[in-house]
Amino acid sequence: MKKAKILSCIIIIPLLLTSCWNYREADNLTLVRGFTVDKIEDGGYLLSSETADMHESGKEGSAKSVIIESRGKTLFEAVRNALMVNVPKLYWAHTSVCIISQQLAQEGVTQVLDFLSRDHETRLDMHPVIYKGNEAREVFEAKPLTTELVTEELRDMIHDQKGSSKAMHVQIYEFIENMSNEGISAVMPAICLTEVKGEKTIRLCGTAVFREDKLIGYLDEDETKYLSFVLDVVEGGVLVVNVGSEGGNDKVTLEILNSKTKIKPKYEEGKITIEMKIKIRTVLDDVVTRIQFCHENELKALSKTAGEQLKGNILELIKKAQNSGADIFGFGLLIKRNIPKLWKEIGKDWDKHFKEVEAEIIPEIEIVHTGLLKKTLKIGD
Amino acid sequence: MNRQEEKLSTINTLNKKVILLQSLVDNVSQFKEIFHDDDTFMTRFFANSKQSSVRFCILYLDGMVDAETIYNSIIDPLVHADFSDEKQWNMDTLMNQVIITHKVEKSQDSDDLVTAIIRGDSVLLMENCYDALIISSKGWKSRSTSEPEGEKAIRGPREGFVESLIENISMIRRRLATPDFKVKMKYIGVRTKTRLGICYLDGVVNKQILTELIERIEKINIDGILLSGTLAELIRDGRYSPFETIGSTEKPDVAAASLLEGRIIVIVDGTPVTLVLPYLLEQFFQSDDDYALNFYFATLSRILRIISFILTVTAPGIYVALMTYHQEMIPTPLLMSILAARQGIPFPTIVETIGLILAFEILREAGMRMPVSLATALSILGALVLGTAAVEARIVSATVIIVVAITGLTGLMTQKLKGPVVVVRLFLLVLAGFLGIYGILYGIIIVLIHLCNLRSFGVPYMLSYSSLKPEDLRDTALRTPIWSMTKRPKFVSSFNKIRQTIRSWNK
Repeated sequence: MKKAKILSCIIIIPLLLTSCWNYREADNLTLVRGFTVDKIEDGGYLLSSETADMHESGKEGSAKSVIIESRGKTLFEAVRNALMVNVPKLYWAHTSVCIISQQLAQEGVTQVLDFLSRDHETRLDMHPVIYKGNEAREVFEAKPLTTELVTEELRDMIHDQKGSSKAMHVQIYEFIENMSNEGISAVMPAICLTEVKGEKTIRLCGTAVFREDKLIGYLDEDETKYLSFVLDVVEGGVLVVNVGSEGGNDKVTLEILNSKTKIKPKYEEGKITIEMKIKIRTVLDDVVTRIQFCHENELKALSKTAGEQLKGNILELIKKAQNSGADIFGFGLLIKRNIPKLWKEIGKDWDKHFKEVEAEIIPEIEIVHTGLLKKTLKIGD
Repeated sequence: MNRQEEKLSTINTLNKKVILLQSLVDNVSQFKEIFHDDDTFMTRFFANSKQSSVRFCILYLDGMVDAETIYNSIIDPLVHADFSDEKQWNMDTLMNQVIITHKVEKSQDSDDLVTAIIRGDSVLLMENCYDALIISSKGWKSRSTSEPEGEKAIRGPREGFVESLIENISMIRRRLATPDFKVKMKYIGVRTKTRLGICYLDGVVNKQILTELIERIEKINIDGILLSGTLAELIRDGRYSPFETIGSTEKPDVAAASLLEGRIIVIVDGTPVTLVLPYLLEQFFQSDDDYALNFYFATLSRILRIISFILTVTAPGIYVALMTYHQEMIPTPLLMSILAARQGIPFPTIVETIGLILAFEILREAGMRMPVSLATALSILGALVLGTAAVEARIVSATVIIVVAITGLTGLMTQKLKGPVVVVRLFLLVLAGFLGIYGILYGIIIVLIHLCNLRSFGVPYMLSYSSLKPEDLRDTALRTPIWSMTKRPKFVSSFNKIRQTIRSWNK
């Protein structure tokens, strides 16, 4: 009898200990695939959620985009106010993109991020994006080219830009981590509207740079690529090398196979130097010049030129960042990790020291082969 | 009289006794009294051709005996024997000098005589004689051997057991030509007196298991046993468990292989399905074909069977849990297509799933005991009406049909585990409907604890799966090469563990 009592306790207690459970049919969900947040005049928020509507899709399985707009004094109130225009409740676990308006970002993104990381439904692998324009909800005026939903296409674009390295692949948890860490400034991709065949469509356009939680400026696509080299996140893309005279049209394109950046801070005689070794394996892919590249010497010279130009571009980017005061490269964090003693001294006024940091860049570009052609194409009559 | 005794008395029969007297007619009439109202009971009076005073009577049951034997070996020699000399003729001399069958026995015991008649032997009575002869004359038609439906083999033998106990034993003995092969006969069932053959290999078998088995069989007091399954349920461990702790086989080669491993085979007269014990969980995933096919392939099929078992038990539960509690765990594109298929379905997922699983079980059950000619009608009904029409009419969603189809298909891979699979699957499904993935894990833990608790005649049911020694895993989910299996399974065979020595040219 005692045994039976203990046994039934053991069986019943785990059944009661289920912390959260809720039977909820999957068809009673409004799947939010992405949303935009705008600031409205009276200090509240305007939330526009793009939901995947399956009602008319039938067997094909393709969703229709339905935009649900709601307002609220806080973001979460806006989420719940959506119930006044839409049933069933919005479901946030499959949301992949969060688009924040430029105006809101300039005032600070903390409130948006707080809701996204505090709520149990939203996922931290969402992609935060800044809309470079007036109101973020304009995004939904765009017509997606390949999918039905704008935000779904945006998510795919962010995933697939590895081939160009011209936009950052940032997820919310990374952004929050960089935002709260000292010695590094957070970045996220920026988007804008562009026109294709008379129809508006979205386009990734560079990177938005933050200081603390406020947007302070943008990098263009090329600068984003150089930033990727410093952060060692390049997985593909191309290097366009000017050969011949400056400003001339003689260009050679190198396709990046892989790239590895080793970065090391040095502190000598009161001067902070960041040493960067960038090792890139490339393939000669596109030659718009009459110069021949069939000898090893010629290829070596080319890789040297490419390295010099890359070095110049990166230094220029660093200069720009130093001027704006945003340490997007995380040099401060690097020093904190490698030379913690030094960081204790200078950490407090890192902003000042960051402007004096010098960078030493050693590019090492290897051209593996020249594609299927040995010589440049001959032009004859 | 207490209740226990009352029960026993109701199943006890045969209160009449035969006491053999001098007069032949009297003796026969005593038997007639016992077999009264039985029209197949035959009495045949005859006398010697030269001396008509030497009279005999043969008693037998029509249909149970071989008429040829009775004529050639009993009546013919007795009628033509020369009883003229002054020698004293009695049953002993008849037995030794006249009757020419292979098995003759002298008896006066009433029970022996009556049982012998029932079993198809004939009883010979003689005028002026207080003894009777039991003469073996059994002869009835039995089915010829055929390939068992449930245990088809690609490269194994096609022979299957039949209903006759003696024939089954001979099939095993043909494969084990050793005097170590022992058969112990037992009779159970007060009315049916069913014969059991307990077969084992002396020197290999675990004596403790054998004693335990015999003890359990002797404790049975029942009116009749007609199937080996009935016997299994009476002597098995874990009597409330859905998992079988006694296995079965219809193939003499499987039986012989089990004997070589140290297991015991129980053959029940009248059932072609023999019992194998001890039986462990791993054996449900093994097939005799595994040993005939290449070991890589055999290992792959075993792993497939285990995966199928896990799938068939958990698939509907996981589907329900994901669809009703954990929508965030489904990849977005998959969720969207499931949602598209679910548009306009009136039932909740759990009702839909349980309903379709029931429909599948009904179809399977209907098809199993149905004449072949109706099978086409069944498949049309099942596939067209249930499948296509239900989806077209938006009564069930296509995804549930797929889940149930996977469940059914993988269930067919482990036919012998059908009983426990159905129970555990429903258990997990209901738990999933209440508690989601948490419920499934909870259920799986309960099932695992139960399986680890189970024993088959003292041998842990999950023995090989819970072992840490690599040599114990050689014949479980894996089927390592035959030359690497040098030992018998642990616990099953207590001593004499070495099966083969490692080949010397192998090194």
